[in-house]
Amino acid sequence: MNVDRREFLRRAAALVGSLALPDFVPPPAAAASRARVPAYASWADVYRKQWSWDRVVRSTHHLNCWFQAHCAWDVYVKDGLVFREEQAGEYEPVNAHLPDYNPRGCQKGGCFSTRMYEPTRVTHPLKRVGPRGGGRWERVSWEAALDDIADAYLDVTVEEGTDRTIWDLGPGIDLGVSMAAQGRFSMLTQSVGLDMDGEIGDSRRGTLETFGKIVFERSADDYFYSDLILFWGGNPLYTQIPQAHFYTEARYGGARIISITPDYNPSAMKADLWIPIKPGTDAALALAVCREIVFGGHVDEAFVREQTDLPLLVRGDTKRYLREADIAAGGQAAYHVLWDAQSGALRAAPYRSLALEALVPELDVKRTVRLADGTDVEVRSVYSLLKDRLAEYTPEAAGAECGASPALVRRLAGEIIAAKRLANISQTSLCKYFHGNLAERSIALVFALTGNIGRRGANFSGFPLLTPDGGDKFTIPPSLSEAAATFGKLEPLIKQRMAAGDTHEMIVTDLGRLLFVPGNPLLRLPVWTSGTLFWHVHGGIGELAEKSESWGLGNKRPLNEYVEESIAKHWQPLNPPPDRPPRIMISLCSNPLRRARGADKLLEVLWPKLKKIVVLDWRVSSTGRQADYILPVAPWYERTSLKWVTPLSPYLTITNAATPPRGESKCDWDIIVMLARHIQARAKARGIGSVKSPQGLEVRLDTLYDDLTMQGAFKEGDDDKVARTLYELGNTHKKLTWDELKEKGFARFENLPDEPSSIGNMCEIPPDDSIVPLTFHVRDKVPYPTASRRIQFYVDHPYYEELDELLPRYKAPPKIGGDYPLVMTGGKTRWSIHSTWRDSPLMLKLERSPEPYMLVASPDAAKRGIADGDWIRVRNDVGSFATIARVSPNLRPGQTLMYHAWEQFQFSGAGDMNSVSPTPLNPVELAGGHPHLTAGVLQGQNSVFDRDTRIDIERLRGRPS
Amino acid sequence: MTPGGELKALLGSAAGRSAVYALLARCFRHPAQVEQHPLPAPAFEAAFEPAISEHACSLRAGAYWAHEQSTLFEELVRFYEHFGLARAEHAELPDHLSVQFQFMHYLAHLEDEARADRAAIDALTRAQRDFLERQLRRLVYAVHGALKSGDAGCRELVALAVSCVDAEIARTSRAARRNPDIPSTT
Amino acid sequence: MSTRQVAMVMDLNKCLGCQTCTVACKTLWTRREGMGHMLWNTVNTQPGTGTPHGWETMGGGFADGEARPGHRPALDEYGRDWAFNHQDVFFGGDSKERLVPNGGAYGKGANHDEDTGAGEYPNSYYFYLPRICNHCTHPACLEACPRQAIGKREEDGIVLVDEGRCKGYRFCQEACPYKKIYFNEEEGVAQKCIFCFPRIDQGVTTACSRQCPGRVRFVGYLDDPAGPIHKLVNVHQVALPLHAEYGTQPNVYYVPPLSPPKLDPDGNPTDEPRIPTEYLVSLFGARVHEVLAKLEAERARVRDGGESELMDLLISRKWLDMFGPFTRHPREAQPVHFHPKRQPT
Repeated sequence: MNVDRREFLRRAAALVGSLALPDFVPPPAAAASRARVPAYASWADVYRKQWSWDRVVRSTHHLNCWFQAHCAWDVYVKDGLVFREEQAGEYEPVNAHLPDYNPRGCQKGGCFSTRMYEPTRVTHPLKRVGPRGGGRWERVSWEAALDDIADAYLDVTVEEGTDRTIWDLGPGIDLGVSMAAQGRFSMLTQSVGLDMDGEIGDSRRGTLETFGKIVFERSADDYFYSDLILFWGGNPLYTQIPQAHFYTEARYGGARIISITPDYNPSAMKADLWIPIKPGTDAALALAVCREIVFGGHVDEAFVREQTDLPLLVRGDTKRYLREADIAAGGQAAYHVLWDAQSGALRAAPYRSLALEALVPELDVKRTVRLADGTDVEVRSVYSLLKDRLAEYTPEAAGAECGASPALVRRLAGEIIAAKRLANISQTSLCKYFHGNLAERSIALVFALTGNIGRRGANFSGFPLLTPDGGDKFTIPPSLSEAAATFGKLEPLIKQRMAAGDTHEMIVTDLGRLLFVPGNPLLRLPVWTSGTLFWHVHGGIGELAEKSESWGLGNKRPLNEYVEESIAKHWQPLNPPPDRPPRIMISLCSNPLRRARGADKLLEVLWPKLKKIVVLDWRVSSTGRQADYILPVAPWYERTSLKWVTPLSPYLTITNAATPPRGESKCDWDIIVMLARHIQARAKARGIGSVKSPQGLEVRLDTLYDDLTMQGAFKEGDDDKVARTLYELGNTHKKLTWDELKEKGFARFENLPDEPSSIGNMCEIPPDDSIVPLTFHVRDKVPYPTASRRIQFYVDHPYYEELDELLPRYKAPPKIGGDYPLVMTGGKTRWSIHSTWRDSPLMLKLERSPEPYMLVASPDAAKRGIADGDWIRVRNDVGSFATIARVSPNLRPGQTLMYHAWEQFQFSGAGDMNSVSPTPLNPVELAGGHPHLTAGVLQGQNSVFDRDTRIDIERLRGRPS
Repeated sequence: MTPGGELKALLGSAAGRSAVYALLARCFRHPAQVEQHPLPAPAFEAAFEPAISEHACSLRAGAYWAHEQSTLFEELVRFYEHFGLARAEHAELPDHLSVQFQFMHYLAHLEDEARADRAAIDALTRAQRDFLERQLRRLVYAVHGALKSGDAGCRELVALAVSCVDAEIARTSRAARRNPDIPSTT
Repeated sequence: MSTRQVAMVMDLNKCLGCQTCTVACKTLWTRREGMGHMLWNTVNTQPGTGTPHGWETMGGGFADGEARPGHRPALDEYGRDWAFNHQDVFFGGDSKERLVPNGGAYGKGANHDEDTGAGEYPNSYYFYLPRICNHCTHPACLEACPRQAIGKREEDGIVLVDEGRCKGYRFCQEACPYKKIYFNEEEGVAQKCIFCFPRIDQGVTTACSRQCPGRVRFVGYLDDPAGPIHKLVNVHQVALPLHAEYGTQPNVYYVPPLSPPKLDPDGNPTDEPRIPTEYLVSLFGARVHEVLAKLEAERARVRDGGESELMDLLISRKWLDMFGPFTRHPREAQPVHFHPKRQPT
């Protein structure tokens, strides 16, 4: 119809006399119109009336600030619109000695409200028009979108299997309301969720190898009790903004800070001593310090004898621990053996408790023993083997490796030895080096040898996490009333294991491991798999490492052999298995095309396999651009939820919906529940009932919605109810009701969470003092969840033997990407939390450059004729990309640095920063079939490594097109 | 009568102005929300929904002046509230073109109801003039400049909006010149 | 000129360079027409050009009691308010579209030398310097205005522009040696930090101080013996003015930063701090030497088990102790809002 002016005016004429104000609520009709017209002289008049807020609501930003999570904010609302936010600043003092937690919050949170209304926000479901990545969309209704997705889901599930639907669970997962929905969906349908902890590079592998777990960290105020704080790797001025004041204030409270990093990073400016080292050489330095401790007679022998495996004996013939069963008929295979100086004999190492009682384990043991079968074998204590190892790491030798003077190495050792309470800060930079596990083990050894573990102010930092623990009771049983019966099935097993001497932590951790074993006989659970392995095998990222033989990884066999062996032996989980390609991917709080190193491969290899790609987000991210559907989620001020935090700031911090969701956006809970509704309806319409999972579990598709919602008890719109339920089901908070918590916005944890992802902290959460992780082990002698039940430095797995990692050692960083002269290191940016603020105009205006840039050391730039601000091409054998060079005197010559999270659409020319990072797998992480080297919740899986990437750079004339 | 004459006639009375604004407010809402919308949904989306079409332009002032967003919202909300209008639940954001036309529709409606009350009419004329100068004209011209659609109906709609706003600014400026009780904007 | 004076002390040993203060101020005050480029609060990496670029060479202030001529910064010298092309990138339908400000020609932003500093590896050095209007006791801007449109509040010395009187001559911009007074091209008036006086008047501290996660900023009256300002400035005397030689008697003070030791050619630490003390002296005056020594001495005292009022002050275990009498919660106060042609009340 050709609508011309006449037509418009005709319609206008028809409207004469009517009043239509769909977006307003007019004042009540007054008798006389005169009373309805207020005085008005000029526009300044509208500003006379005092502005007032309709509501001020407590909320926060539930995304993955990890070490910085979370902060209580006041959100100021008028007319259903958020105008601003300001930190609440109402944390009560913990005690009189410690600085309080106020105000928390950072510059990113301070401008979140500006993002809620940006025109780039997606507020209606979008379906792609034309090819993937074409950037053209059409607005569709939720009904149409979910019907289409439901039909695709049913097609795939019926024809190909239940394990073909993948949930890409990104760093934004809450382990709260969103995960309650996804968890129930996965439990019922046996669809597969990707564990992304290793995949984002936070595996903390060395910590797992040593402590049997990664999750344990202190509260930030505990650092105030330390007298020496190591900034060993990491950049807390960037990554711990809300609590960095505890470190700067600790300096005034008597602490010294030593920073150890390749570049003079911003955090180093707060240190009393900065030790520059070559990237990736931390293990050498740490082992040299250990040598000084051991050979200088500074070992805390009481601690080491009781808490570590150093006194345990290792067989010279098998290179495995000596077991009681080896030396005595009827001896336990599970018991390790030590030499007791008190009785002058071999004894089984304490098992149920670490308490030595009358035992005095000899540390330095080398002797011949007779086995039960009559043969003689040489055994040595781990300590004895370690001494041989450490002897190589003289200050001169180590100094040469890491580029530090021997005097400085001795100085560091001296300061550490003299410290009464030694601490290191949380960081995940070391584990992004290929041999980062060795660095972590070596640093952990420093702490173990000096007994700086499990005491107030003295602790080695694991991976921080503290989560409300009601989720399992909500997610796993068919309904709340069946929770007792469901978990009751585990009782016999639990009793049996406790009778056998296993600890509560070990049992809970093992239950978490069942997520990776779909169809296990004990419990029907959601299904998880290793995110890294998934991208590697199904996503083709493994192809990037084809040239890896020439990179000096140190593998004794081709990498693929380790991968195949590990998968075949079920050492590392891969669901679906390699021969069953994934077909549907639903991306929740995630942006893998931005995050995954080598993400170009995903587009090339994984994308063609997927019949449907659905992204749940509130903005069009790098991944969204390549999707089939973008389903709009309501961001944090528009929904109510609770989420994990960390012990660094041990306050459960909630979002309380300040305004209704804009447009047609919905919270994750609603979207997943609605999807289940559509699947059920379409299944019924299509006569589909149930199917079986590959392991034989029944998956009811025609009752999926009924089952997920617990027969309608928790439906669309019930996110507040779900949050309340999760809160009330948990053990961590008893003082405040849910309503009180929403009002206040935050509540200190009261009890240690009783669930796999947080129990590793193994300590109380005092109301009036700092948190000291590992207290239960150190003070109460509870065994660690390791094979030896102790802090373990001897890792007796065949891969570790093959690759000479039985004991900590230094291995030179490989040249990943080829033999190029510069190494590309990285770090978390100050200006965004992952990619969430990466394109925020205000953040970009305040950053050094508003486009991706690489820090280049001054001499390296000069040698290549590169000036500050020049465009450069970065390349290696794997790929290339273009960026801007920012020349810095703070970078170590030979080192370059790119902060993370730039989106693909911010790079000019072809490629982006992930194009040069092939991130080959480290075969030791493929280990399995071992008590603690095995996949568990957020641990024990393959990681990614990008800090050893070798590159070269050359100047470009200008911006590439 | 020519369309130009027709428009002039309609804008000649408060009731007519109110009706023209009402029409513009309706037409700049998505067809799914309006009965007998003159434009088909695909044409509307292609013209005015940047989420859907590469040739679309946004109808929100915040899209063109993103850094001023909350101050934009504040001033618009202050204008609306000054005249007793509260924001409806699930309303469009205050800077949306349709919402701004609804406001002008309401002011003209009040003017029509005021009959011979000179003081009320003067106040409303000043308010209309200020709102046009400070907010609506800026947005209408931005939309006009960003419009890429080739659809005749959409182009005509925007052209009508421009004509209307231009005529209204001229009328309210003349009123200012004639009437000493209506001071200049500065 | 005023009976009492509010002042601010910033402890540069605690500043994280996070710019939360900048965002707090920006989102509260400078989002109106003509204010896009304004950063009433800035945080720069020193040594560096600062914001505006090279401000320390732009003159203004006083020398020997006489007004010195000064340069009026151009818009580019502040860093322009860039326009981004989000619409084109996300919805434009061209997957090759790149997110770039101002079509790629954007010059230097306000923080273009973030984390750069000076020196040579491994002895490079830098620290963060947050700045606001200093609400000087002898303001050069006030003296320079022929309209007397700038005044100092009687009760607390906050310096404010009467936008009704201002005719936009911009002599104030030439006169201010700190280059902390901006010009609004759309409104035709000078505008600058107002020390959040609508909050101060209600007992709420400034947004920049309250929202700072690093707990860097102390606020209070200079003459209040119970407050932190008096103690840090007058009693312990560790808080120093920036560029006192500009002659305006600024009321924002700084605790100068310690730094790790320089390394000698063998890579061993020396006794010298990385940040050359002469550089700090050029900013904060000759007393830098004794202040740094005092900080170290007090740290050592505490390390050895002793007590130190100064250390306790700088730690500020109770966060609200940092803000003198301005401890009211903003939620309890009336929302602060914009007055057209702001009048200093």
